[in-house]
Amino acid sequence: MKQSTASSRTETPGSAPPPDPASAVVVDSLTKSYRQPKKGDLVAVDKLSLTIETGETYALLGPNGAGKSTTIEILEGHRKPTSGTVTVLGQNPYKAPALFRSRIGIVLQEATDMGTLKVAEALKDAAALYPNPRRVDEVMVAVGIEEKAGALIKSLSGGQRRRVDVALGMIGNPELLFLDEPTTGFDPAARRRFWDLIRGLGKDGTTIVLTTHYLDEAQHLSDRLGIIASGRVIATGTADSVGGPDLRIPRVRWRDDDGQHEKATTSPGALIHQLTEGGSWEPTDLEVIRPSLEDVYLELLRQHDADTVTTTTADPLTSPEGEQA
Amino acid sequence: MTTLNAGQQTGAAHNAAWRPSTLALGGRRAATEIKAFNRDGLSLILILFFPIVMMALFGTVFGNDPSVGPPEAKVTMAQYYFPGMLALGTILSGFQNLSGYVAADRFNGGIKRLAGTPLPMLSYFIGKMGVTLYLIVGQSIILVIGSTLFLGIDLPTTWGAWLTVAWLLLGATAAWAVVGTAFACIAKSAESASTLAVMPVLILSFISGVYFQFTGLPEWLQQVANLTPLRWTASGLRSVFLPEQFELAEPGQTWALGMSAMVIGLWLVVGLILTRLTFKWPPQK
Repeated sequence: MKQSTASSRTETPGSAPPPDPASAVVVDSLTKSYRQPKKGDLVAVDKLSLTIETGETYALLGPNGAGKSTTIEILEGHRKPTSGTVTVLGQNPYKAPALFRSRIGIVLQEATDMGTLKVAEALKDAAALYPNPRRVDEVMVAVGIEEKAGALIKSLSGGQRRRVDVALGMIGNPELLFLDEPTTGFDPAARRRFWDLIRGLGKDGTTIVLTTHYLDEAQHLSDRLGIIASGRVIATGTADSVGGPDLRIPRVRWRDDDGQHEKATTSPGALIHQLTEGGSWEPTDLEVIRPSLEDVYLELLRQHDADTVTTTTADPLTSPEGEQA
Repeated sequence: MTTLNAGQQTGAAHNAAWRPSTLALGGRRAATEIKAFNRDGLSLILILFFPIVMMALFGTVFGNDPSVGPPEAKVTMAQYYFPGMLALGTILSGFQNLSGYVAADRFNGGIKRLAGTPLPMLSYFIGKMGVTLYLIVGQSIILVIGSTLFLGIDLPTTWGAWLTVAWLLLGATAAWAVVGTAFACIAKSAESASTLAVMPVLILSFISGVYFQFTGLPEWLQQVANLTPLRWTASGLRSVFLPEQFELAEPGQTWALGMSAMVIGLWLVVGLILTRLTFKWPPQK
């Protein structure tokens, strides 16, 4: 024991350089389990691995209880991993020094604090915490809250409050910004404005880690995304490629005297040509449906759940079908 | 792996030696907490003016004639109650109010937000100390000035007496503050914290010689109160604001200021340990 700690100390004199400067976040086999009285351990995150490159906007998707929030909180340094390694901006975030905190920004999922402070006051106080803050007035303009600079935070609408939360997250000029379900409860117009704001931050080079339940939000904002289920990453990719081509085969749907039909095909044009006999017959309700990110996401989760069921309940369910084949 | 940009800055733009200033940020937190508190007009009045309002009620009910104490040193009811009301401020400011604020910060995201910034945890506590100090000093000054002007309370004239007042009030408030913080950290919700915090204040103010003469209580209740700082703060303040003849009416015929210091000091140490054990930065589920 003593020997190994001594050797590891000599290997890292002072602060080690980041292993890979291009990656803002590297997570390898991260596990987090909670001890629950009488129920055994609850495994919230299970050997999760992912990499987020510097400058990209990365969306973390998954159902409630999949381990998104726990993962984010570990990346923020708010929780200690049970096992596995986590490197954020070249450092282990847990109990990292204040300098690390000055390089990240966190937008909380729900906070109702600071109600009796004015918007500009709260931002000025927050700016004083950082070595290289953005200007308060510029940040207020960036999030579109400048007209409310002198208003008490408790008097703001939900959407305005959220803008203040984002302003507080970006005031320290962070290299990495965490956004945890930022647009929950927004009306559609406010959501669009919010997306513009986040895209602007992304263009300025800020690495953004976003969790959301809105697949259209992930589609609009993310350069890449990861889908988490049961504490693991089950798929990664861009919004247009995640899940692979098989889940994205277009479906042609139409209705005739026999009822509704649906066919999956990689060449919908040819199918329709054949179906309509070269355009001489017009089917009812003809549609070509390309699976949306939401369709792909739901299908991936369905497959994941099915896999979990088959692996845990094993043969009795699957063997009769096997015999039929 | 993506291709590496060779010229990319690797933290050179950061001053690796940068550290936030615990004291300066603590002072800033204190100023902000006090500002936020002052904006809440209703609680400002309820909290800062509570002791003087109670004092005024007692003074009005019992009249202005010297009616309490030995024949050669009778004082007014107001004079008799005054040290108790002053002592009451320590548990109100230190325990009841502060535990409410810390519990609110725990459950409304305030601590979580601050813990995600470079703010040192100690600066957060300095801020809480600042607002608590503001409350106890504010309450006490209002009580002293109001009681002197309207209820004819006699004040001590020696520096030594005021020094005793200062260490008793600050020491007891500090002890209640660390106990109150630990209390806020084990509460299940902000609401339950502020509801439950009323209980010890009510009970202790009844058994510690604040509202009733301490030696008039049943023996076993006195023994319970002997274990808590409020009883010793009240007796210590009586030694300052009542004539020396009243010392004979105390348990053991002594003010026992040394015991006041010991009990308050002990609670301060135990409270610090409890706070150290229960306070999480940020709060954990």
